[in-house]
Amino acid sequence: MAMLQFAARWFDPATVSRVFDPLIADWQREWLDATPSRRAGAGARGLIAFLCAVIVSSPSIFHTHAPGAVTNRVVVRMTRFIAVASLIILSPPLMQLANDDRYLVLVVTMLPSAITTAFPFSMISAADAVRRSQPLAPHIERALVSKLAILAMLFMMTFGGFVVPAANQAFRVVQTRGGAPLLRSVRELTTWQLLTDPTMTAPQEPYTGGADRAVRIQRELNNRAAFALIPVVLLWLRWRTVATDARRWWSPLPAVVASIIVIAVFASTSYWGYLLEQQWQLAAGTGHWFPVAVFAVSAVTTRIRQRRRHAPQAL
Amino acid sequence: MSDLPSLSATERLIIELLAEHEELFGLRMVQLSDGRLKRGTVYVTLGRMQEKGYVESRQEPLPPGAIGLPRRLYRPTALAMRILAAWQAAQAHYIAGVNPQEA
Repeated sequence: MAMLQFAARWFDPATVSRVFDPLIADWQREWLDATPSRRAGAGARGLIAFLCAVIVSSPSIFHTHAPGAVTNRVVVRMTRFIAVASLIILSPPLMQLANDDRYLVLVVTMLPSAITTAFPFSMISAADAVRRSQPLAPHIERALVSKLAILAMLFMMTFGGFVVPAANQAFRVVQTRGGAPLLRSVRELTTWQLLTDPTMTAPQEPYTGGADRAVRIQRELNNRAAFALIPVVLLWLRWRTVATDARRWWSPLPAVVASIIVIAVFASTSYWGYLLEQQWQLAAGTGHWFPVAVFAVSAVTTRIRQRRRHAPQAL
Repeated sequence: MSDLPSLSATERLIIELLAEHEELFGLRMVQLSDGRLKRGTVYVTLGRMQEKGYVESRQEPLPPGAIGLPRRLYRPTALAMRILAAWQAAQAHYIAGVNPQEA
């Protein structure tokens, strides 16, 4: 029955009734009719068939659409959060550059970086927009969250890997008023350039502890990969936390408070990750995965707690 | 032309099996197909055929005291039988055209 519950959470009722119900019924009967020595084989064959059916039916998840009002609410809340957070991130340089004649161009070149930094944390507002309003059918909710997670990851890979490096370099060019060609640090090179032509990177960079080119590139690639996963993990964590059946008067915290806490946790775990990487002499960039690991463990713990709460109580 | 009902090789095989045996379970079709039908995809195909109106199904009545989910029995619809007949006629016509001596 766990298999049927899994299918019902991910697929629409028609697919469950037409595909998974008969598959599991045949599988059960085969297992019951088998001799004890053949039951393991019957179980394994049924499980493989079930997994194949899940894979073959999975495109239907992406054809499942949430009501327009819900998707609009998700987009509005994310946009609102990103706008406010980007403004906060950009405030110090905006004040610093207030009297510069290149003000507008410099702001435009800084914008992608601010948006990319703010974007992962907008997942908290997005999860709330999905789960804190009118309840959706489980398969619609999961389809929406899956699509959002994939889009968020693609956004981070595109912006973090290509748009931000290009904007960073443009910022430097504008700042030096188009002077001599500037050597690029790892942050001014796209992911493709870092992977295919490492010699484009400056031989030395300040504030890197004298790290050589290979180490800096490895660290930056790890940073981009880990940061691309952060929105997915945060979406999963918040989605678990705001489960309708796990609400208490104090939990879940409002999205604004939760976002501030998550940003603080991210900053501190990033710092701790860097320290651990140095202390234990781990491979360059390993520390960037520490926040991802902390958020993932937190989401798994939340899930386990919810399961225990709903487990049948022993008499 | 787009109004003509489509029939894939797998769908044709299922209809042929159902035409021969009248009513079958999904797993039984896999067993009878000599490996041409796969257990992981047959139910997806059957679901699609049900949507197209090629097969209809009913749940097997469970005897009292039986455990587990009731199995689903499939049988071909009149539409499926007409399409199969048309397909077989077209196939025979094509073979006759390609190799008239064998026809």
